[in-house]
Amino acid sequence: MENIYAHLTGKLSPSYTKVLKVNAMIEFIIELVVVGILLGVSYYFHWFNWINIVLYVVGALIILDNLWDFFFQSKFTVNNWAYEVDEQYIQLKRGRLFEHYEMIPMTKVQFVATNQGPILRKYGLYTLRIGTMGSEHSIPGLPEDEALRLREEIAHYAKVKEVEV
Amino acid sequence: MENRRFHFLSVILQIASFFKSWFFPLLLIFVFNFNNDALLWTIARYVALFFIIWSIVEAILTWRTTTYRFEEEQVVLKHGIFSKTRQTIDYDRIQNIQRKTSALHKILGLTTLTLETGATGDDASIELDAIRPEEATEIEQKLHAKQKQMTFGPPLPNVQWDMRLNRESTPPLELDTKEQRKLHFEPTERDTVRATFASLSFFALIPILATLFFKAIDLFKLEDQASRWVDLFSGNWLLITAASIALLLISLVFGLIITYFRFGRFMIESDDERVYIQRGIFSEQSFTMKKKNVQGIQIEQTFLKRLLKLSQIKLISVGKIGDLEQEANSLYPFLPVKKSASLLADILPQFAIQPTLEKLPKSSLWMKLIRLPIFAIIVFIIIHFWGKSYWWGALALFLTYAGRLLEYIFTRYQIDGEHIVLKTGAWTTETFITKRNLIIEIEVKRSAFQKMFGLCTVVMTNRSKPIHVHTIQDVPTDFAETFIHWYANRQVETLES
Repeated sequence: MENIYAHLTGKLSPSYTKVLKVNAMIEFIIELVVVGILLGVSYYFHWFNWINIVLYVVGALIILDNLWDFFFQSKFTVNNWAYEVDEQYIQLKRGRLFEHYEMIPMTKVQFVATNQGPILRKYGLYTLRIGTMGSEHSIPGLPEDEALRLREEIAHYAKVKEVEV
Repeated sequence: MENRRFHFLSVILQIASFFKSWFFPLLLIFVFNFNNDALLWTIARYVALFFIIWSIVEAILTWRTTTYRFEEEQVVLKHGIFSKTRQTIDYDRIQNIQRKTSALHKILGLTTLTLETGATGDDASIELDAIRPEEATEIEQKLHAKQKQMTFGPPLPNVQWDMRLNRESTPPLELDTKEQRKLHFEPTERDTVRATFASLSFFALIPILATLFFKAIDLFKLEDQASRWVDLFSGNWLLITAASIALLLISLVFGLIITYFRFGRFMIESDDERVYIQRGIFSEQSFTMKKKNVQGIQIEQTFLKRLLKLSQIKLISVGKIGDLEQEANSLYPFLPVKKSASLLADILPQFAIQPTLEKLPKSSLWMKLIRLPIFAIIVFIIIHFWGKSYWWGALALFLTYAGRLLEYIFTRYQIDGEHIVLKTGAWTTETFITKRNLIIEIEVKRSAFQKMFGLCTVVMTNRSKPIHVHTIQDVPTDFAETFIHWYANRQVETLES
């Protein structure tokens, strides 16, 4: 009972950790710049003092959050991701502190696509996107061959449609 | 099969809707400031006049340019004065048929028929805005026949789209579905009285009275008069009591009348394939829904309805059914609980199940109690900075925990063969019943705390427009596991496309 998701065998590529680290750094810089500009404007125009306090608190939170993301979350995300694709279902599971499991019947899949941003490209990774009637799901950080194989597989299985009763 | 136009009186309807939506600006310009010679108001008068004339011209042009046609397999609607739009919907894609007769439509002897598909977006439905009720009935019946013919092959060769309303030459319809329809429910006086209380419609009088009162004082300069009344009433308990009772009685009667007009003439009928819901007295509405499109049943009970032993059954269906605010997908909203089970068994036997439901374990209560009361915390923070009374924060905190306790008490769940039943909610409870193969995806979530208590949150999604998501919090992990296995074993007929 301890782990009800042990049967999910698919894993993300270990190098996705690096992608997440790069992302965390970029985010860190952008967020700090935004807060810095706001602080500057606030001092220049003599905004209320509490605005400065809020901005400092937000800044501190950003630093902590990104440190966490950089050193821990990036590894946890990759370690805790699991998926399984078979003829009938797509199963996705992520997170440990906040576990999240999804099960999508193949017959309800409406599209499947692969995406690759510049950072993912540098590490040869893809994000697989799966669209259903109501929502979109994605598996991030898959190695190229795995991502393309999954895409073809899902596209093939998803051709089968249910008889709507 | 010729192109047809809406009834000519649709011009009146359009002009009326223009005046309705610009009522207050026009009132301001032409009544209250008619003698105001300021430049601004003079310009406003001319602009408004121009728009009034334009709205009339537009109405006529719209009527001239809007045509519809029923072809062999599809209905085509063309409209647009400058840019033309052509809308086509195949008969077999039409999921629900909605008929709406506003009070004005009724006076003019017209009705609105909306043919809805399961799709979203502008092209999802065709609205025949102003046609004769006889024509609407004819279209409905022929559509049903046509759909039957398209699904079950060609045993009904006589369904022709000859829509000329030539009464003599039209043979009596053999496919009159009215014959096979069975009436399931009509509210009695008792139901209407209960509905009045459950809907709190007698309170509706208070804002109306208040508005009238202040308007009257403003308009007729009655301040002195009003203050004299206040003097008269203050201190005279007898007068106050009498006035209160009178007010109470008036608002009760008012509530009864309102409720009667809204829900009095309610009819729930069904035949083998469809459910027909009719309502309203001044403005009439009727809905036709395919039974096989029903994806689930939701039984709702507000706190008040629970006290009055009433409930509301909603049908979650593939297509959008009318305006959401009108709650068109609802069987009678104030259905006695006793009746609802038998009604459901009559109309949709596939959802009429009553298994013994499981309650939440004690550990869920602990989980609910330790979860951060975020809303109350935010209220406290706001109060802290605004310097208002902390009582509001205390109230928010109390409501939060009372709600959680109620949630713990009322939550029920069970899997029974092909069916699943989830009952959730605190002040208002919702019982959702659906079948395994109607669920389009599932989710199971748990936080570290939930995991410690052996609990999960289960989410399931059903088809609707756009989708219907149902969440149940803090069920035991055992149930979540059973749920996953149960769903993994769903068996459906498939076809290769």
